[in-house]
Amino acid sequence: MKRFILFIFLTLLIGAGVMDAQVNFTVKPPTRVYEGQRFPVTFRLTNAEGSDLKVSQINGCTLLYGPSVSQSQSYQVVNGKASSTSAIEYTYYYKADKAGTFTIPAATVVADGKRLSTTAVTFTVHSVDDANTPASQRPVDVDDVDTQAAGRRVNGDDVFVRIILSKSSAYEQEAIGCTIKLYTKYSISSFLPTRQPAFDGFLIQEVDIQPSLNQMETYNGQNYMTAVLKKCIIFPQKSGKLTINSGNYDISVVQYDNVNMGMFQVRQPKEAKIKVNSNSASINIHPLPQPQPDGFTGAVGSFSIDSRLVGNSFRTNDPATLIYTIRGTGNVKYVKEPVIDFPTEFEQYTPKSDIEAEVHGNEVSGSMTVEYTFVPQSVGDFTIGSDKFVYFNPQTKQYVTLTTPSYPIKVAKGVSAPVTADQKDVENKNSDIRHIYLGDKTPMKQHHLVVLESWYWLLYVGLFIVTVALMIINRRNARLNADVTGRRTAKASKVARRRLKAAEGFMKSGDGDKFYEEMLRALWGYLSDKLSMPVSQLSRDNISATLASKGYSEENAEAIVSVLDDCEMARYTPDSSSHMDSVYERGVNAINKLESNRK
Amino acid sequence: MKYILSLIAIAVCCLGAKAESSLIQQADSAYTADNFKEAADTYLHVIATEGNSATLQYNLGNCYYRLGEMGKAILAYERALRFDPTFDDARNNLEFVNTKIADRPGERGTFIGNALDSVANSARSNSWAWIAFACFTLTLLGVLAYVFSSVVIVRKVGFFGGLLTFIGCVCFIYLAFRSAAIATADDVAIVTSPSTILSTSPRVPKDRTQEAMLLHEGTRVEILDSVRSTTDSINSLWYDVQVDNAHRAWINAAAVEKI
Repeated sequence: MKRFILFIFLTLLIGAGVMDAQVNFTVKPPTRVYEGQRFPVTFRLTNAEGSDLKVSQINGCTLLYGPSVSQSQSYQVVNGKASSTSAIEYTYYYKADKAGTFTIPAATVVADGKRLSTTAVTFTVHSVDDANTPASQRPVDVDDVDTQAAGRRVNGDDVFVRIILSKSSAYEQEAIGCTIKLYTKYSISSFLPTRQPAFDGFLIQEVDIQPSLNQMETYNGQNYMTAVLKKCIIFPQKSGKLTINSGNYDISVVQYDNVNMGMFQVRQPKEAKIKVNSNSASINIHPLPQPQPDGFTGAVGSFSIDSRLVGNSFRTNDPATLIYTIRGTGNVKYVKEPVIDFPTEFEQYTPKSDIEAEVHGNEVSGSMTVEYTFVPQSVGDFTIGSDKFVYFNPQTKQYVTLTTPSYPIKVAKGVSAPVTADQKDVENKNSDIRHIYLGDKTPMKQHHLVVLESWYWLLYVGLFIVTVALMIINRRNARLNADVTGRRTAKASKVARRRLKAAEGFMKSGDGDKFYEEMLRALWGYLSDKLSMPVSQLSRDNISATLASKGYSEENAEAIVSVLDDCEMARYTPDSSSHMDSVYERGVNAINKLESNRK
Repeated sequence: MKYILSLIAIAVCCLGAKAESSLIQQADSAYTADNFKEAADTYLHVIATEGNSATLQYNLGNCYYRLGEMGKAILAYERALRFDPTFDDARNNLEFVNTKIADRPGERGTFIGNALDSVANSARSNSWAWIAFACFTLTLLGVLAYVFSSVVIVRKVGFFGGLLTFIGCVCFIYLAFRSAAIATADDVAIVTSPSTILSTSPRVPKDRTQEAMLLHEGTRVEILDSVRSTTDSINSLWYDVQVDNAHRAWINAAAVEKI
């Protein structure tokens, strides 16, 4: 019981939620009409109360009576969704006076405060002769079951599938509407695609449709029941002539067999299996004009962009958001996510993008919204760079560039600063070359490398020669300086030899007297020169004293004095020649010693 | 007095500015105004007529980088560094542009050789030469001190100082030669064509097996050998180049430009 009450309650709730359905006003033309027959024309207003109906008469037909009004209401719940439909039908009855083509003029009605109008529709009134020809010889007609006899061959123009493109030529990436439609004059009992058309070179945006055989359409002057099998928007990905392959379908059509049941005739449906190929559609795709501007990433259509910074005060370590929206018609689903030029001091998260696309007619329109979340890491003034969005407009055949503004941002110190040190190393972004050198550039004709020039090496050689020369000169001086005693001795003996040269001559001839005389004269002369005193002032006594006073050693003085004494003595002594050698030697030695002793 | 000094300073500045060719100034201002093509042409004209210098090549390299011609930019920076291996801006930009090119070569040269090269490049060859000469002079002074002086400490200083400065002199002369060799080497080239396929033999590769590797603009190669070959009556010069220690092949001379 409780459950039942709940059910009623729920039902009421759902009933309250019935949505307003669409209001429209349509006309249903008569089906097959023959000359002299009566036929109805029905105007149908759905989901509204109508008033002030205005209907013009059909020229060439006689209005019998009308309108007869009938109302209907339906209510359905599908998957918990309730919908209700109401309809008012105004039916007028006419009589077709003659064969020909006639027009039902537009009718209007006021509903929901608006005036709705139908479109003008034409229909054909067939002549009576037409009706008298046997049904099997008349062309197959949708509404004439007699013509749909069993065993009749199903021709290519009775049942076929068409691929219909909204354009015959387009640019790369430009949206093209594509509809695959089944046209039939027979009822269809089963429909099975064995091969679907292949859209090579296209990206496809499918449109959800429920195929139903409910649309009447006139094609090549004949009436068909049609069903949209597939509707999609295709975006060509390359240029050139692109072809959509035909699809293959297995279809069972219903034909009717007349069975004589004795009293009356019954039409018995019979299935006939046929195979149908659709046409294959070709389209010329033009490449996008060159040169493509910088920043073009393949957006084709017509777009507008908008960017907006959420909030206006920024703090370090506080996340902030930039919302970027691209809105428009075209390949919005395939637009590349823009890359915003954030300062490197901002930590960035992966942008979140949201694409909404809807099909309207043969175009896809919608928006792409990208949310960039960033966290400023440093205090200071920064700029979020402007972004360029470039798209190609196939209507004007031109590239359009849109720019977002750049945002100057002042980042203040945030409260939630990390505990770690606030100081940071200066970071080199290293994203560009350094500037040109603006100073004096001193162009020179040749690049001199001194190490490869001979004069440089001559400098070495010169310096070396100078040094060696200095050393040689010095070496000689040093050698001479080091041998100073030897030199003096040599000099002294030279003096002694020179002085005693005559004495030596007498010594060799053995002339004793002359030898000693010469020895004395030479020694006195030598001392006189040495001491710079005249010989007359010299005496044996003052020689020692004078020599001592001039700094000669006593020993040397005595040596020369003793030689003088010996010579004096030998002069007056016979047999003096025997000592000549030793006296001469002592004399030479005495002079040498005096010479060497000199300071 | 101060007034006169500042007047002199201004006069010197004016003279200095006058000394700079007006063409160079024109090129500088063209670069600053983003007319990189004009600036590059003007620098080239100045180099052809007035002479070359490290800074002119450096500025030319900057122009080429801005024009997107990486190969020519690297070539200009390398030439700038030949004039002055201590030119910090040029080295910095060269390293930067080298990170922008398509190829990343492997290890080049030996560890010791590279270390010596970087030491040699830390000063100009001429600086090394004059330092060596100064060392030589000091050596000779040391020898003289050793020879002439009788004071033991002076003789000791002269001997060991002379020995040290002589060793220094030899080292610096070596560095001067090494630096000069780097600056005058005619076996280093830069790939200037956008991309080129190297061949295993000195002619156009006949099939896939003869293709050695693909190099892109800006890559530095060392030329080991050159051969003039005639294929299909087209006479072309081919270089045997070493890209890095592991890659060696033949390249058409038209695809590279020597530094």
